[in-house]
Parts: sequence; structure tokens; C-alpha cells
Amino acid sequence: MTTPPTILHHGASSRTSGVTGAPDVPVAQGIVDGDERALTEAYHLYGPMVRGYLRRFVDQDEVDDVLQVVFLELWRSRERIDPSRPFEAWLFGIARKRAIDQLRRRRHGVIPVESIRELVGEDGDRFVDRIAWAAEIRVALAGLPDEQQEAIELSYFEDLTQQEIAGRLGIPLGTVKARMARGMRRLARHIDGGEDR
Amino acid sequence: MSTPEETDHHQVDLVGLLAGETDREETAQAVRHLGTCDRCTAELVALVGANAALRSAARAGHELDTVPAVPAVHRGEVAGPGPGPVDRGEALPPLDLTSPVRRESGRPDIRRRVLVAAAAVVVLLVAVGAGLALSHRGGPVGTVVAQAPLHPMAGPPDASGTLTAVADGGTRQLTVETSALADPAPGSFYEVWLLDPATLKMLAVGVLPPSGTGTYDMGADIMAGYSAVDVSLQADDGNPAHSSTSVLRGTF
Repeated sequence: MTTPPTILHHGASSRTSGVTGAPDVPVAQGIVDGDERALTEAYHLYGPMVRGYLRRFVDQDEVDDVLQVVFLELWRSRERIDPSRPFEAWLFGIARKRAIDQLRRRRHGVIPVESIRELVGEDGDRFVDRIAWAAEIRVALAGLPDEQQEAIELSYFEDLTQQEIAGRLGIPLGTVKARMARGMRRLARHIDGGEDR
Repeated sequence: MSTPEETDHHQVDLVGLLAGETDREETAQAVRHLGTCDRCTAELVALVGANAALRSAARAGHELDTVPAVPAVHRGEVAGPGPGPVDRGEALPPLDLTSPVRRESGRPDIRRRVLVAAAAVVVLLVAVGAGLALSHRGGPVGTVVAQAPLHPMAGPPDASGTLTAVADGGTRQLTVETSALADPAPGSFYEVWLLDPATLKMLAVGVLPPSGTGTYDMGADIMAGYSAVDVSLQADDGNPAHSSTSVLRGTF
């Protein structure tokens, strides 16, 4: 079972490190403190969504290189991370800048209007904020007990009804309802900034 | 039927209510109860926040094609990278901070450049071969005037394709061949477009047949106004505009 993460105002998503074997240290705080294991953990936690974000703007064969650049810059800028802001906003802010750099470097190919719209200006601000918020929630969700996480993910990410989840998992409908309710209450407390701080 | 006051807190399925999964009686019961119960109302307010956050995260996950691999990870069917956001079907490359100069440049390394160049040569040969094959198959006898490898955008990362344009007098026959594209969901289809990067002008060329290979004729003057080809995933909803979901793209 994983420990619920610390999210939001303090920005330091915290979780037990299933990847690195590191102790339960807030990821962002670990990075600020210069702990490379925290950087590795952040890479595994956030890398897929950062890559998904970059894919919208960066040539396919350059995405993984830019992904590495983003995390390198995260590491190098760790002393400037503002603990009063969400860590995800900082990370995706770096990703956005590097994506803009890549678009500027393009000499050939198509830059779709929708890409520009999602990257720059107020629309770009809103889009990256939304993605950073989503990453924050995804990490918080990953910190729930497995059975709660599973029920919620099947409902929200797989669009299954509670009845369908019960059938999929072979458990009573009431158990699904209870797991979802418990998990969502915990998420609600995270959002409210009240629990596990 | 119980009155609101008689309804126990645990009988009100707030999560089901938010998900739209309560029936008429359950919904009416919940609404009546919420009108009289501060405790459940406060919990509903909290759950509304969680519900909104999860819906937002799910929408973003679908937009970025990064949704959790829930059943596989939890059932131990695959060795995932641990809980957290999982990129479906594609592992992250190892984190490599050992070559900061190269990484800071944001450009592919030499080995990758060589591989990309080699792949381009192969694709070019394939495209030329396709053009020749067209001629031998009874297609328009002419010269291959343009070809382009198609690179994956959204969709399967191993998807690929080629565009070959053959001149036949004032006509250009475009052949788009794709591979490893997922079958479109019911009610959707792939469509081929030409693009002009300078003006972002777009021309719908036609629907890509289920075989993954489509051939389209157009005037040379029309084609001359474009220099890129795009394959999009479209919903069969009567909207003729590009869906913004590009699955393959290439320049020629």
C-alpha cells in the first residue's frame, strides 16, 4: 500500500517510492535537497504526462530527448523551486518553455494552429495549468490504497459504471461504492489541503 | 418510502449521485435527505471537488494519451513502472543526465541522427519502389514527383506510412499507405489531408479505406499548393473540419 501524497499548496508530491526504494520523502522536497533518487522518482511519476504534453508540440523523434532536457533543467533549477507553488506547475512550466524552443527550431514541417494555441498566450497558460493540475491529481490518486485507486480509475478513466466495476473485479456492488466513497473522500481532503500534510 | 429525516446517511449514495448512476427513487431520496442533512451536504460539497478534479484529470489523460493501465497493473499481469501515471504501451526511456551538453541542445544525438537518416533512406527506397510498383500494376505511368514518410502523431507510436505522388500529365495520383494504425472505433474513420505549412491551409483529400491504403487523384496545380500530408482520426458526425487528432504526418 502506498502512502497518500502531499499535494497542492506546498507543491511537494509525496509518496512511498516503489521505484527507487527511497524512504517516504516528498518528491519535490527531495529534489530541492539535492536527492537524485527524488529526481528519479519524479521522472517515473510525472514523465509519462510530461511526455504526453511534449508530444503535442515536438517532433516525434525528438520527444524523448526533450523529455530528458526537461528533467535535467528541473534538476539544475532545483534551488529556484518555490515551495509555496505546486511542484507540477514548475515542472510543466519547464516543459512548456522547452516545447516552445523546439517549435522555434523547426525549419521544416507543419506547425498546426491548435499547437500554437495550446502552447502560447492565455490559452497556453490555461492548457498547461490544466495539465499540471491533472498530473497533481494523478499522483494523489496513485497514493490511495490500491483497491480504492483501482475502483476510481476504472470509473473515471475507463468510464465503467459501478455495476460494471463490480463485474470486472468480481466484488459486490456495495464494496465498489464503499471503495470509491472512501477514496474520493481522501482525495477531497487532499484537495482541501487538510489531510496527510 | 422513507422521509428525508428517516433516511440514514449511509443510504445516500453520493458517489453514485455524482456519477449519474442513481435511479429515480434513489435520486429523489438523496435530494430530500440533502435538504435536511448538513453533514451529508458538506460531504457532497467535498466530493464535488474530488469529482471535478478526477474528471479534469481523466480528460487530460485522454488528451495526452496517458491514462492509467489500471487492470493490468493491479492484477499483476504486467510489470509496470509502479503506481502513478502510466503511458499506455510505451515505457519511458531511462533518465539520462550524463550528457548535459547534448541534452541541453535538445537535439538528437549522432547515433539517433544516423538511425533517422538510415530510416529515411529506407523509406525513400520503399516509396520509390511503391511508385515503380504502381506503374507495373497498371496505375498511371509516370514519374514519382513526391514522396514522404509519415510519422506517428497521436495514436500508436509504431504507426507509420508513406505518401507517393505520381505524375500523369496534369494529374497527380497520391497513394497513402499506412501500417500499424489501430482500427478506428465505430463511428469514426481516418481521413487524408494535404497541408500548407505557410498558411495552414488544409485540403481534405479523402477517406482512408479500411485496408490502410488509399489512392486519390487531383490536379497538379492543386497539389502544388501543399507540401505536407496528414492523416486524421475523424468522428462520423457530419463535421467536415479537421478533428485536430492527427495520427500520421509527413512533409514532401
